[in-house]
Amino acid sequence: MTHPLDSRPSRRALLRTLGAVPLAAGSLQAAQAVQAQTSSSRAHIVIAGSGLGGIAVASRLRKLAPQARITLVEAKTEHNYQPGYTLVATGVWPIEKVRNTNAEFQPEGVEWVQEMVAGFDPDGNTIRTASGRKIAYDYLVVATGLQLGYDQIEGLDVAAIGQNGLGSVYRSPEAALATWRAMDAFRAQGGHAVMTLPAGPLKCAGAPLKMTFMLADRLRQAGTLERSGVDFFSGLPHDTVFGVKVVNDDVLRRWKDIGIQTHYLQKLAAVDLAARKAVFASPEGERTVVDYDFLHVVPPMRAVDAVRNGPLAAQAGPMLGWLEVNKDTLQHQRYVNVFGIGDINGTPRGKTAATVKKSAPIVAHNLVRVIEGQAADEIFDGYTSCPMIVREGSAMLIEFDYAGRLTPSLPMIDPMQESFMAWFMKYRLLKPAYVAVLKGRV
Amino acid sequence: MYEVWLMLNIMWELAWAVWPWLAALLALWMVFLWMARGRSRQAWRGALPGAIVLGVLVSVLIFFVTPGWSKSGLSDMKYWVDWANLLGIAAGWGAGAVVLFWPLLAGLRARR
Repeated sequence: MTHPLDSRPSRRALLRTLGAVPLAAGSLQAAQAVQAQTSSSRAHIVIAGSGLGGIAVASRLRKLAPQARITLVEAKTEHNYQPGYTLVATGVWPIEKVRNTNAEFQPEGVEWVQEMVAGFDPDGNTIRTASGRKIAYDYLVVATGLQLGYDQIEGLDVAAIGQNGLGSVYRSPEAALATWRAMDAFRAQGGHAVMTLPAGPLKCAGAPLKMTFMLADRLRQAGTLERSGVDFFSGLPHDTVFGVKVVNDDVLRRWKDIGIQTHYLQKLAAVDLAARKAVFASPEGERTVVDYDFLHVVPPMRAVDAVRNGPLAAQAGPMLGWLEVNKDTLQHQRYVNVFGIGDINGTPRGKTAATVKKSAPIVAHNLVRVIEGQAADEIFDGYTSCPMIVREGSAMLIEFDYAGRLTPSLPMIDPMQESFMAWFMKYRLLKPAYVAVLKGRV
Repeated sequence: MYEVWLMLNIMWELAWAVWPWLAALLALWMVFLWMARGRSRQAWRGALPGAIVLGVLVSVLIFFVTPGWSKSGLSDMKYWVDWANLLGIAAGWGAGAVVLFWPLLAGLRARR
């Protein structure tokens, strides 16, 4: 007679099942890679910049074109997890969580030229480094990122971030930490907080909004929200703080509930740091002086000079100055052996890590197609993602495409629903995902 | 499929970040397995309910601790996806506890 418990799996069966997990994982990866183009070419591929985009593409190209010579050109030794800056700047994470080294992520078999790119000569298929060195290439990936235009704000001294109530999340991990210290000091007393948002392309366009939400939450936690005022000065048109309308309207509704005042078509033109006065300019040139106890500066952003002042930049149109790529294939519009990835791209949306996550496989595939004498055929839909933190412990997981359509990765996710899970992803899961992107695995 | 592959990679990177602890747990598990060597099927079967109880206790602990451990709270559970994910996380840890403690409990049972 068989015992009912005999029908349960034995230890051996359990161990066999556990051993199948790596096989399943391998088959999933194989399923993903089956469409990837490969090449046996010995072409020289130069990648300008080793942020997320540069290293992710290098990692993928190393596998897709194992015989190719790949050179990364980057002066920085430190690799920063920029999506974590808002968490550092609002006291959620320690600074160490956003600091790594490029050396630990650069793929093996890739040459690293430790210099900054100073210029591009796509007609001559060369780049020029800051020391004047010329590096010839067969194919080029531009992954330089963008530059922050603090110099466009009169009187602003970036070294003063963290002092006299001045904050700015974007500049660096140290600036993010200094911003938290300024915010923490401010919330203890309360007062008048001024948050800013310039017009024009931004990396992580949600960050100024997240900073505002978290500031209000920190004030609430300190018990000083009631005696504080928070004003958000947007450089965008009326009732606009974000480029996706449904999200924009939801944010404004939440801010209205918290008592955050909004002002539009107001560009931060100047700051008197000692007197704690911010000067805003309207499109007509009218200037308004605003006193503050805490000021969060979001600088205008532009393409790096090496691109902006050279032949790779769009010479006209809405993407003027940015890398002139086809928004679908991310191939340069005029130089077929040049591709772009990340913040430098002159595309309608998407200067986020999530954009790189989805576009790196496409850029690598399309570049290898071109190496093989074929046309780029993978299309990027402009995917970007913004875990919109609404307070400590809760966020909305917003994902959208070029057209501003919400595109949740999983059907059960409600993008407009604030949730623990979206916060948990931001707090615990997105950096490991970022590292997997760097390694070319996802 | 992509999301499954993504989650596997996330779990891999999370595990890699704490690999010394995982290595210690694995070593401990190997010790438990060695202690349970030669135990009869009856011993294993008899140990399972206790292992499941321990697994449930771990699940309950993880369920309550995880939000606060992530600077959130149960009051931030806003819809069923949050509860499903939290229950899934707790269940995963509970299953791991069953796997870890089952050989220990089997090994502690007297040889027959």
